[in-house]
Amino acid sequence: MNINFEIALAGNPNAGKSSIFNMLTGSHQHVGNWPGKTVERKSGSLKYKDNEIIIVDLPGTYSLTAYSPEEMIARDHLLYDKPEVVVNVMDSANLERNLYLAVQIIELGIPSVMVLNMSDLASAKGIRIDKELIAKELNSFVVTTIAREQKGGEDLLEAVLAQKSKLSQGMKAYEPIKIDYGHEIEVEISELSRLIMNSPAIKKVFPVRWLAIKLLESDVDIQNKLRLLAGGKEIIFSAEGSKIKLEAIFEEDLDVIIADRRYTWIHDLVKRAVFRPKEKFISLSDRIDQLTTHRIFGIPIFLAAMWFVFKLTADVSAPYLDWVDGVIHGPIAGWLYAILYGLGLEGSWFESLILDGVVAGVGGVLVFVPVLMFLYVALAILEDSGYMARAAFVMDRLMHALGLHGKSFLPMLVGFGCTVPALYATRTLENPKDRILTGLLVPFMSCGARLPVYILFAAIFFPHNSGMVVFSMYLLGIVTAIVLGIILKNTLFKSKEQSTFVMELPPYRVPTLRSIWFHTWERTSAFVKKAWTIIMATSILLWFLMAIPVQGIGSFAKTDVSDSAFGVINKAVAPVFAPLGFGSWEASSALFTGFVAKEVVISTMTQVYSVLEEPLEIEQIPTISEGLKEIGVSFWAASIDTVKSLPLIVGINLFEEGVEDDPTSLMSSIRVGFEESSQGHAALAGLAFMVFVLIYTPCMAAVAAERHELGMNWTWVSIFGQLGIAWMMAFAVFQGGKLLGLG
Amino acid sequence: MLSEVLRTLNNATEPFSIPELSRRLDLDRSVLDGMLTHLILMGKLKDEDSDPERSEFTCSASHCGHSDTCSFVAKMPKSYSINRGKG
Repeated sequence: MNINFEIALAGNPNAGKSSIFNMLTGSHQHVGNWPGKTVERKSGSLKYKDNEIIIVDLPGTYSLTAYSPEEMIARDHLLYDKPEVVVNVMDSANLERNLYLAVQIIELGIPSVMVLNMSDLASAKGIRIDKELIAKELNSFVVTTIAREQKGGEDLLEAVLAQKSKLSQGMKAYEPIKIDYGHEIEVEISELSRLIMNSPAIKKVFPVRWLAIKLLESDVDIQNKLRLLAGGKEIIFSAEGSKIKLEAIFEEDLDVIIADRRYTWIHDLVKRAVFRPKEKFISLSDRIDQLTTHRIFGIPIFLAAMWFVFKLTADVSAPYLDWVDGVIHGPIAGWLYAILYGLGLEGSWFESLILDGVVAGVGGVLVFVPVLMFLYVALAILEDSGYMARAAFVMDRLMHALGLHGKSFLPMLVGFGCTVPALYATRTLENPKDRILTGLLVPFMSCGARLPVYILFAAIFFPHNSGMVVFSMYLLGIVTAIVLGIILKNTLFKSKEQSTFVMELPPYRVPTLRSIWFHTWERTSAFVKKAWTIIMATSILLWFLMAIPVQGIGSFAKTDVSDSAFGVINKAVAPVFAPLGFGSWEASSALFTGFVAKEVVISTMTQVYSVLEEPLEIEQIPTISEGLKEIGVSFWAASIDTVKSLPLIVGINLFEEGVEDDPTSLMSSIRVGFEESSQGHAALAGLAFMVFVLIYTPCMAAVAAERHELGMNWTWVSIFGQLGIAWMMAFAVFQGGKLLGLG
Repeated sequence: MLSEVLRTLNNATEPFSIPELSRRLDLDRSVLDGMLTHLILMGKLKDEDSDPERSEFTCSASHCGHSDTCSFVAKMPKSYSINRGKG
C-alpha cells in the first residue's frame, strides 16, 4: 500500500539542510518561489519502502519568530500547511545555537525528527553528544548524519516513518514537551490558554499553548491574524494585560524573558547531553587578539604599528621621492621648456606660467606620490590583515575610558585618510552632542594631504629622525583631539549617556597583493587627480597673483614676487606668525593657500621659492632618448637605495657613512627662510610650522562638510577654534623650545 | 542567558569584542552569535552596519576627483550597540 505524506525540512542556515535535501531527493526536485514571495521554494519527492514522501525544504532560519520573510514563510508553512513530520537539521558542532529553532518547532506541537548533521566535524573537535538524552528531553527521534558523504539517510527515513507511525496511533501518542517558563508566566499562559480554548474558531487554527506564548511575546503577525477571527481582539487585550503585569514583576521586556527561558532550558540540556574536551579550543586569531587587544599592551602595540608605518613611509620612500623630483624638474621640465622654446615662447609670460606655475605647483606636489604610495601600502597591509579592526577597538576602549564616546574613534581613523568622509562618518553617532563633538575633533587627525608637508619639513630640519618626527605629528593630532575632547565633554558637551557596543573582530589573514594594490591605487590616484584639478587651478591662480606687480619697478610676469599682489598681501599677514618663528611672507602665504587644500602648502612654497631658481638653458635639455635613459637609470638606482634603506627601519644603515643626499634648492631656500625668520632657531620654527599645519583650519572641502554636518555656527567655532589652538601650540613649541635651549 | 547578554551590554562601561564577551559570560561563541542575532531581530540591539545613514554615506564634496566612491572609508568591523530607542 502506498502512503503519501509530506515532511518539512527545517534548520539554521549552514546546518547542511540543502545537503540533506539533496541526499534524500536526488534529482527529483522542483524549484520555484513561495507564493507571493521572492524567496526560493524547493520541494522534492522520494520513495521509501511503501511510502511516497514529499519533502518541502523550508528557508534556513534561526527561529520561528517572524522577524524576517524567511521566518514567516517557515512558520506559516508549519502552522497552516501542517506537514506531518518536521525534520530539523542541526549542526552537531554548534548544537546549542541550533536547538533554539528545534525548541520552537516542538512548541508548535508538530512531531519532529532531529538530525545531528556534520557529526564527523563535531567528533573531530572532540564533541560527544548523548543522543538518547536529547531524544528523551525533546520527546523526538534523534539521528546522526554526514550528509556531505551521503551517510545516515536511511536512519533518518526510518525515524520519520517511526514518528509518522506514532502519530497515526493518535495525537496522544505524541506529547510535545513543555518548556517551564516559571510560575508567574505559566499562570498567565494557563489563563490565556483557557480563553483560547473557549474560542473554537481560534482553537481550530492555532496550537493553544503556543498561541498563548506568542501573544505574551507580542508577536505582531499573530496578533494581526488573530484580529480577523471571532474573539481574537478580546484575547489580544487580555494578553496585553498579562504582559503589563509580568513586565512590572520582572522589570524587563517579556519577549526577552521568554526567549531567555528557552535559552536557559537549552543550555541546561546541553550541559547534560553534550561533552566537550576540557580544554577549550582557542583559535590562533583569538590567541593573537589576547595580546593585540590587551588592556595594557594593546595601546603600545598600536603605537608601535603606527611608528613602523611612518618610519617606512618617511625613510624607505625617500629614494623614490628624489627620483620623481629629478624626473619632474629634470627631463619633464626640460622637454616642456624645449617645446616652448620651439614655439618661440622663450622668456614670455606663458613660459613662466607653465614652468613657474604649473610645473612648480603641480610637480611640487606630485613629487610626494611615492611617499603616499608607501603609506597606503602599509595601511592596506594593516587593514587587510585584520589589525586595523583591532586598532579601532583598542583606541575605542581608550576613548571610552577617558569619558569620550567610543565610536568617535571610527571617524577619526577615517580622518587619517581624508577629513571629509571622516566628518560624514560622524553620522554613526546617535546622540547629537556626541556627533558635534566628534565632528569638531575629527579635523585634528592628520589627513593624507598634510603628510607631504611633514615629510618635506622633517627632511629639511630633522633629516636623521624624519620618521619619528612624522609619527609624532600624527600622535600629537590624536592626543590633542583626546585632550580637547575631554575638556569639551566635561563642559559644553556634558551628557550622561554612554553607549557601549560589541565589536566583531574579523579573523587575521595574510593580505593579498591584489587587494593591497587595489587600495593603494585607489587612494594614490585620488591624490594624483586632485593634483591635476584643484592644485593645478590654485597654482595657476597663484601664478597670476605673483605675476601682478603692485609695488617696485617690475612689469607683468617680470616682477619680484615680494612686490607682487600675492607677496604684498602676505607681507601684511606675516607678522601674526612672527612669534611662532615663521613670520616670513613666504611661509604665511603657504598657510593662507593651504586652506584650499593642504597639499597646496607645498605647491605654494615650490612656486614662491622656484622663481628664484636659475633659468633653464636650451643646451642642457636632454633629448628624448637621453631623458628616458636618465629616468630608467635613476629609477634603478632609487630601487636599489630603497632596498638598502629597508634596514633603516630597525636602525641599520647600509649606506656609506658620510654620504647624504644634497638638499634640493627648495629645501635649502626653506631652511634659509626659516633661519632668517626665527633668528637662528630654524629647527624649532620648522617644528612649530608642522604643528600649525597639523592643527589649523582644515581645507575648504572639509569646511563645507562641517557646515553640512555640524551647521554654520559650529563650523565657525571649528575654523577659528582650530586657528587659535594652532597658533597657541605652535607658539608653545617655538617659544618653549627657545626657553629650554632646544634648537 | 539572553537577559544577561543584554544586561551586560547595558551596564558596560567599555566596548567588548565578541570573544571577550563570550569569555566573560562563559558562552559558546556560536551561541553568543545566535543571541546577538536574536537581539538584533528583536530590536534590542542595533547592527551598526545596517544603519541606513551609514550605508547611504556618500561624499558630497567630490573634491578628490572620486565622486562615486570614497577610497578612504575603510570597512570598519561589524559592531552592535544597544538600541536605546527600543529600551
